[in-house]
Amino acid sequence: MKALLTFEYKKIFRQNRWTMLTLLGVTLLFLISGTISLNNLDSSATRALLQFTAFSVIGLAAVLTFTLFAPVINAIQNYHRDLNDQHAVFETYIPENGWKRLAAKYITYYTQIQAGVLLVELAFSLVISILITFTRFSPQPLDMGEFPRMIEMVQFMWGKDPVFSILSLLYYTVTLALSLTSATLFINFFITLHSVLRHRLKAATPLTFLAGAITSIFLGWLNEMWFSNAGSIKYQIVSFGPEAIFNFGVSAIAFYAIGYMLEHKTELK
Amino acid sequence: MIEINNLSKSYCKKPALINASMNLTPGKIIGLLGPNGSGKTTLLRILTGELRADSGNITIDGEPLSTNTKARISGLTNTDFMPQGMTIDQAAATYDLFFPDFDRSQFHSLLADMDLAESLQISSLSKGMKSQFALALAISRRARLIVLDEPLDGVDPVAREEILDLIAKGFREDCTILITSHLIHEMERLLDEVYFILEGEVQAMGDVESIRENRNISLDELYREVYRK
Repeated sequence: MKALLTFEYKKIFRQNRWTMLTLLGVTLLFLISGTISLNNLDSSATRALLQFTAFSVIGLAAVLTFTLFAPVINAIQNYHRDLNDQHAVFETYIPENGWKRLAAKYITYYTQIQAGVLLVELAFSLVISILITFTRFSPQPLDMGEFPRMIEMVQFMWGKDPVFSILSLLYYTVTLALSLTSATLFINFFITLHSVLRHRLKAATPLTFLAGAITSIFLGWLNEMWFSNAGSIKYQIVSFGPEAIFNFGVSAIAFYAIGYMLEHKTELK
Repeated sequence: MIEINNLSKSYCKKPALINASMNLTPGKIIGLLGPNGSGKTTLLRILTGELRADSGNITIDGEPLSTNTKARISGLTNTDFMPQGMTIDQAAATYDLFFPDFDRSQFHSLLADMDLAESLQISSLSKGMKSQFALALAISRRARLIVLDEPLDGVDPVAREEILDLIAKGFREDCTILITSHLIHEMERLLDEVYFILEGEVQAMGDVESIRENRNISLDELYREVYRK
């Protein structure tokens, strides 16, 4: 397993190192500009400073969105390459079981997604801080939209004692990354099925419809739990409740199915 | 002993292998010769685990083909098979990671013979250099079976000679090398034993020396005779 993990991490590093460095550089730039804005904003702020603040906020929000979803897209791309690129041949030479190879891939995908979520949370905290300060001094009223709910959530997370706040943050960080990883697993399940079908293994067709039905339920639930209620503290982004258990249960089935296909339908590429 | 018994494989009902049987003894370089599309690559890809046979079985020293037996088979079914962006040295490190039988010092010695620098990116290599590099990786494993699919394909005559020398250097008495090719004349000097394959059917032709002595013809001539029919 150690060898597989080393292989997968190195592969991701080789493929993404320049993107990661650029992203970190841009994030750092916006974090610095955001911090400068935050420290200088007051009632006598000039129009230039307000514009600079808006630039920092929009930049950070863009980076935040990209950082949250880029690792997911990257995990899907990497998996697609692993099945279809030339190196798929090498991966079949590896004397390890399909489930182990898949587990190594998902541990690396999870780590990547988790790192993205952490970075997003840091940037998110700063964006909220800037926005709170900005609304106090803005000459024009802002379109608040979902904003008060976001503030409410941040205040909830940081308004209690530090230990509670850190535990809450950890809870949201881990569960959000797990949800994104299980969504990735589902999309990759389809990529695996696509590879099976591409090679005219017609027996896989009914399985595709079955998986389609399960996935649509899964993604519907994910959407309901996460996107619809993201700003409210009354709902949890994700939880270890019955919905999450269902998600992870279905993910486990998808994982087993992909492992089986990797092991037995070796002509995927 | 590697035994291949009644192996069959079809692609969309089109048979690629029909009840193929072979006995591969250690200490021999065995040729699987046949025209394009005769089923050579299919058989090799089943041996490396890239494909699964529809029926029949393969055993390596009595053990059926499985994930475990992959550790004893070194495959080369595609010369461009390592992940993109790797250098030669990184590819060797990856082999070292997965295959305990990989002999890194032999690999470096073969690289030196080919004048290939370890720091070179694989993507920057020419087709001939890629073939040599991939072959060096495959034969640097102290594997029980080394399978090489068309190692001479697409390379110029000088590079072909170098590749044949490379295979001879990587050969050990405790391993079997199974090579497919349709370039019989070039392969002839290397082979101990041959099998011919046509439209998925494998036929044992015996050892090359006996063919030359008993039939008084070269392997190349025999091949032309068989496939002209």
